[in-house]
Amino acid sequence: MRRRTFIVGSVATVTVAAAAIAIPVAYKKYQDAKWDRPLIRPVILSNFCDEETIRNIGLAYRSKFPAENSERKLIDLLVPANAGKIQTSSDNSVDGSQFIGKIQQEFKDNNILNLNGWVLSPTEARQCALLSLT
Amino acid sequence: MHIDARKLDDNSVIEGDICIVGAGAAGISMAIEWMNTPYKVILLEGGGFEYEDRVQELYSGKTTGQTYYPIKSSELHYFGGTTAHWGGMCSLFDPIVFQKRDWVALSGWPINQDDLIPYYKRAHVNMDIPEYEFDVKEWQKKDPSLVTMPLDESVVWNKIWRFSPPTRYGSKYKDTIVNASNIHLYTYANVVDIEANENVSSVNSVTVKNYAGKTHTVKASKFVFACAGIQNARILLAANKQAPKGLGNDNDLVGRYFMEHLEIKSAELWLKEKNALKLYMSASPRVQGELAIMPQKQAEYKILNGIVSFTPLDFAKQTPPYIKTWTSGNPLENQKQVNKAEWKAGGNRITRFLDKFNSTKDLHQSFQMTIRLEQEPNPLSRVTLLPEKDELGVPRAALNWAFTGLEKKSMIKIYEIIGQQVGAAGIGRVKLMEDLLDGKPDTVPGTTSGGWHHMGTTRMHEDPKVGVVDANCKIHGIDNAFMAGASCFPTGAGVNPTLTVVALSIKLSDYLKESIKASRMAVTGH
Repeated sequence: MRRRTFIVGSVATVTVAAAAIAIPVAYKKYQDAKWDRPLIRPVILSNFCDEETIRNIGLAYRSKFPAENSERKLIDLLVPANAGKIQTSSDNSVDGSQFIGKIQQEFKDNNILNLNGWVLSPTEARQCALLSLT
Repeated sequence: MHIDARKLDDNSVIEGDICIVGAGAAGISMAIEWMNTPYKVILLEGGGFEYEDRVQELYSGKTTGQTYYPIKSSELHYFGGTTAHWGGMCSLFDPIVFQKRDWVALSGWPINQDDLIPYYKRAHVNMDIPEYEFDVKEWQKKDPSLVTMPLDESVVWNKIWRFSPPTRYGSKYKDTIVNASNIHLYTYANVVDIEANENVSSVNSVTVKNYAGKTHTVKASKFVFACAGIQNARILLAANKQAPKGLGNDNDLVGRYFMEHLEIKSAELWLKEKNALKLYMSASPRVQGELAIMPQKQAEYKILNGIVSFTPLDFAKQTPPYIKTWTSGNPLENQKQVNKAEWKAGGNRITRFLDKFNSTKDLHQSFQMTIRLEQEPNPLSRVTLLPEKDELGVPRAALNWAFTGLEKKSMIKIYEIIGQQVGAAGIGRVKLMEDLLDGKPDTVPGTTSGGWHHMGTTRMHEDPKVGVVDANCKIHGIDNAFMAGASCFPTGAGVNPTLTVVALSIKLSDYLKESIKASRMAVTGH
């Protein structure tokens, strides 16, 4: 209930404000970029991080987990149900919405890691890592 | 009544039932409790009614260890004490702070929060805080726009700050004290020595001096030292003619376990959607929320008690940490520097600036997170005496501010817990300052500031081998001498100490009244 109150309050105020506020430049740039693909777009981070910051997070992840330091490995870990079927990080057929719930669940499970100071879930960190390989 | 000790005949003898040394928040709070009683109260203040640099100079000392403010300017030395420049922030010490925590060395008070609640309520009145209410839900009933972040209440909770105007004890209580017939306020009466009986089990008198060259003797049946954390320790350590290690220091505890609050801008909250976070800004009706960690999670992760505040990042980025601006020995000059920095950032007072953000129109995507953390008691964090003496002949104080490593671990974990909660709520992300993640557990960032809170140097414990004073703040082994203020705190909690200082002082006052009454009855039979 309290969470809903907060979200409703936030959405209401933001909705009103949104009429007058343009989409943040960084966010627009991010959407327009060629790498705007579900596999390499950590949705929440992309609200306030520029591409360089996200790439650096990805670099930190690959440095910390060298066993995952390949496009193939990261894709398979991101979409295990389609392991081997998706060939590139630019594949646009992946349903990006699956990551939102998965990421949130990882946070709820306290499955988190710290990269360049950011408290992140493994899934969004892998998205950053995949982006850093493009 | 008021007596200027400079104008007394030299070598005067002053006598009373109780002598309170120090007229700051603790000393004045105690004194007003004794008004209209049949007892003669001697209240000693080293300075006058206004700031004088020559008097303030008596507080000069040296610091080592973690960078700290100049000792001279970290407490104020005139009537009203450091309340003359405090911010007015008040909150309760959490119940867990009073408990023995097996992961925090020497934790555990001999009293609990319930023991202090009646005194917290009385302190509220002294400090001009309107109503006694620390439950966020009650504040939300009054103002539904004070929305909490949607975090798991079994992990993170919203701790409430209340605000004193702030009450300047010097200006508010001067007339009250001066007009009280049984309160005898002596200004320019600096305690330079304590004389005990032959076997050092009772204090007979204290010696006071001033720049006028006058020396006086003050006798009373009870003595209370209320000179704040550094000076309380200094007075006891310097009283070493009869007790070579200092009065009450048979177990080498006086001055040790100095604690401050670590205040560091050390993380950022980035929101998916802009928000005013109104509850978390300093807001009318003078209530503010901060995030705290639930006790069971503190136990699970074995971390210290701390709280996290939020400030719009654009403002916070422009204001340097206090440790970088409060660098002069002159507290007035320091205050000017702080005001100047805040003015540059958008307002000459933080509260004025933050008030702008109370409207939901004032939305922000990023917020500075500032942690305020208790310190783990550490015997190496301590006040000692220097060979050098002040103008009145008292050895100056040296402060070594040091940590154990639990502080940094706790800071990181607290931010990670909040980061996990923010992520689980889907509202944004938390980013820790990289200085926290340098892999050096025993160091803290160079921007670490303190809250000018000096705690722990005459710590409270029932065992004389672990504490200087007992649960009633009486010095172990000395039957009529007491310490008042934050020097008695065994641990520091995450919040500012002033409310607890005043509450504990009122509690001590009640105890002493009963004690004196009982003594008189024993002698007179009524």
